[in-house]
Amino acid sequence: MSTEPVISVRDVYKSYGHGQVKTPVLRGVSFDVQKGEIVAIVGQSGSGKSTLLNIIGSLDTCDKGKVKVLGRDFDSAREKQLAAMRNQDIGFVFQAFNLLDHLSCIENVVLPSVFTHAKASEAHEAGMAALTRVGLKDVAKRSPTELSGGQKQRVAIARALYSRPKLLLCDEPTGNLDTDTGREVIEFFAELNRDDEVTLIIVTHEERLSSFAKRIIHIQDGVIHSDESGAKA
Amino acid sequence: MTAGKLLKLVLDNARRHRREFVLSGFGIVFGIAAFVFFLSLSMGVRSKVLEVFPLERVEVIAPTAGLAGADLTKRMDDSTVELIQNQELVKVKSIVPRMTLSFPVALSGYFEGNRMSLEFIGDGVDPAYVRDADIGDMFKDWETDPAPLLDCQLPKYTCEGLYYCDKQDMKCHHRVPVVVSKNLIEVYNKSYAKSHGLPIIGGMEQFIVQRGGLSKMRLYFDLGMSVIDMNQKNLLSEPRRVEGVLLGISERAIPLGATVPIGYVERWNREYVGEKAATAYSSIIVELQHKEDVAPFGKWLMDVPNLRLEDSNGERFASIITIITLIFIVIALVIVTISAINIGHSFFMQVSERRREIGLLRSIGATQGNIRMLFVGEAALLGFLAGLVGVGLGIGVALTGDWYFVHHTADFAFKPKTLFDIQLWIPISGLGLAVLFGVIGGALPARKAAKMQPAEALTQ
Repeated sequence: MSTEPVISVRDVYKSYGHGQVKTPVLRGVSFDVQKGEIVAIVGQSGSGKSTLLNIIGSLDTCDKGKVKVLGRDFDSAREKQLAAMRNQDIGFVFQAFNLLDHLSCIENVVLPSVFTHAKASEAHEAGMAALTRVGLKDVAKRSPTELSGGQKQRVAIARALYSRPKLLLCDEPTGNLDTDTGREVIEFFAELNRDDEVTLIIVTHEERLSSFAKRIIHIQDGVIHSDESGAKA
Repeated sequence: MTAGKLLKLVLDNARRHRREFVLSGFGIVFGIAAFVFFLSLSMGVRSKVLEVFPLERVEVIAPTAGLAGADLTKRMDDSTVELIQNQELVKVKSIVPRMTLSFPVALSGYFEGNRMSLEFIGDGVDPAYVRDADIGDMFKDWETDPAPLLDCQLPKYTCEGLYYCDKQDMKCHHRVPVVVSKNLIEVYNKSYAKSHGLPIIGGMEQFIVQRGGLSKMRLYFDLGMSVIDMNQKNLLSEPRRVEGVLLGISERAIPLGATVPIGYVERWNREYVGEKAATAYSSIIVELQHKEDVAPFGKWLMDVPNLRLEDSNGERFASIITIITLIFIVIALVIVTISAINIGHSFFMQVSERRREIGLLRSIGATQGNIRMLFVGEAALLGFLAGLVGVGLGIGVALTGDWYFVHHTADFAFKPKTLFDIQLWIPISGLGLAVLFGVIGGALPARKAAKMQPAEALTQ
């Protein structure tokens, strides 16, 4: 019995610019991702991998094609539904962490609760659980400016995990981290996938990160060059 | 997003962008301060003017007409008063006839050691119309007082207190109470005092006290005499002197002259000119129930009794004040509008600077509407806080100005106790205006922020 894929991308096209300066970024990309997969999307700079991730995360729209994530067809979904999906079901991890420096770590983690009806106490409890999970319970009240790069990324991951998402979209998550810290993050992702069955899509150009993925999609000039399964977890 | 969470987010951002907030809010502060200041001033001056010249109080006069030197002006008497009283077009609150003297009277007295003599211009009204807290009960027709008149004290023909000896009947009569208008004091202060080296009169009460009280405010009416033409041949009685006492200032006195209780004028006109003059009114003061009734009443006067309304000072002044107020409000609104543009500019810059933050919020579940509300909320908060400071500044300057005006400017006849009337609706509308213009200023940047593609915002 086949189950519905978590992500279904069909013949997606995307270009930037207008008229003669229009630059195609994605040219007919299609693939599916099943629940619990760890997929690395690799490729050179400008190959369209981040654009593809943003389209999957509904942070960007495609010019042509069909995208369905967690059962929601982006063509027919309303803006509010997509926002709710980003709030409840998808977690984002960015290369630049994107923490708000004027907020404490715990405030950053519980930021998604601003767009829900969750009570402050419930949000705080869930936020502390997320921070505990990434091993940063003790820095809850500190400002992100006082943390190292690795700690910042773990706070950002805690924020992504706050809503206990089904899908984690990571754009170069170890790009700003040293080797050891990067390895810690990778190990944490593996644990998350194993324990919580979180589906992970990781955009990267780093060999060590792609090698831990169960599946590697290689994008070149806006098209899928290769889609290989069987890498070691 | 709930209102409480939006407010918390807005407050956090306001704290974070304190400097931008302060700089953007300057215009609103000054605009609203000007709005509150000028509107309170205008309301203060307007209420004072309308207190002196109420719009619903009108003066009915007969249009002046003449032929070959003969006065053909329509006569107003008790039948006119009755006609006005009985008309059913508008509701009348009160009717007070005025009667001018129909024969010459010379007025004299002593002021600053100098004997002064001038032609008396005056009229009489019902004492109840003039009596108020300042004038008191002394303004009445003392000749109708039932108390028996005392004999003059010989050999010097003196009487006690405010009584004088009338040599015709050798009895002590109370001096005729007199009130003058502020206009007269103004004319004296502006023209007469300066040219004759006499002191300026500020507050009348103070003036009377400084000169030894009412017993020193003695005036002499020479009935049937004139400083212009000494040969009055057509009068029914021989000239005689009565004494008066100046009680003070009344806004209801004849504008350029003095007013006494109408009973005196009636008797004097009867004595010197005849019955006809003793029953003819120079004007009739009518107080209407509603100020909106003035126009229909004026038309009725022209159509029915062929009379007209004297130009209303209240209406004239109120119109001038309204125009000046409007000019100042427009200036205040221009300042606030410029400031709204400034807020817009500042918020556009903030949207650019906060692209990544906007992108992040969208990535964790903010809708376009949430982002729009966030920026509009910040602009509204900016408007509210700047409005609050502006209202405070406006009221502060008004109160300081008022204090200075009351304590450090010379007394003058029309000097009010306060210049400003800060009615509750003024600060409230000032605040509302500040929030509105803040929101207007922030609307376009908020739209831009809301429309921003999250992916594009995150790749700043």
